[in-house]
Amino acid sequence: MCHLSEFQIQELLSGDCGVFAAWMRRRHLKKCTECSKKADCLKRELDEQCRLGKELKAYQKYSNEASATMRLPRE
Amino acid sequence: MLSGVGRNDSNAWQHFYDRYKVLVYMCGKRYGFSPMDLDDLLSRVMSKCFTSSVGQGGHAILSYDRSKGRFRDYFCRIVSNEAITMLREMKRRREVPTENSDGKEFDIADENAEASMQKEYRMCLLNEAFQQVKRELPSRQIQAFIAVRMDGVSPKRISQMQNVSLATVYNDITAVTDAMRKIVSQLEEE
Ligand SMILES: [Zn+2]
Repeated sequence: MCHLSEFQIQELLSGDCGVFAAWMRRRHLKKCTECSKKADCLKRELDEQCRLGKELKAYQKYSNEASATMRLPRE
Repeated sequence: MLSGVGRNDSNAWQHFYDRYKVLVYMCGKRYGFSPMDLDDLLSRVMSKCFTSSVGQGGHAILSYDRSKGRFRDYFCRIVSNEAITMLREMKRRREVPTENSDGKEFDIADENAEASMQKEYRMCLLNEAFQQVKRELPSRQIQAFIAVRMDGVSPKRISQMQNVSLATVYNDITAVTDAMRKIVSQLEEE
């Protein structure tokens, strides 16, 4: 059995591959423990990256608001 | 940074302000403070953090010493205590806000306050790590991270814009994330 590469899994998780390729890969993941473990791991990493991106975005918003409302002695 | 503030290093001062101003803002916002109250909270926190005596170059002196534990915990405690004191004063004057910025009612003795404060602190560290990574890593990698993970642009679109393979985009985003995580864990140790 030919295993999925890390890139193929990432592409699937990000929704960047075509419908047919996605179907084939999902089918493989259902049958292959090794690849499905790898996919779980990559999914966690993807979720973590999304969380960090969201937090940074939220921080930027707070930071802009803070600069507009609060003045420190040296500013 | 703290030793820099102690030595009146102006970069360290700027750094200190930038990090803690937003933290105070986030905490005050959580309690539904108005812009005026937020400004007041910041002044109160700063006056608790610095002694009234003035050091060389006109800078105030940090009142923290290491025996008080980690600066992070010390600072968070000051912000929380000052915010709660202000809330109590407002309550006495019957002008206490009844809901936070998300429109949820809040309780002064909020048991999640400590956890929220720590989360906000970690957001400040994450931002610092991001600023450092932006200076250190190639702009292509940073651009990929910002576009895909912060602005929701598809990786495919970025690979076309940057004229690189999709695998490169994924690797670039992972490189930025790994670098940030590394710096955050170093900052956590401070
Ligand atoms: Zn497999």
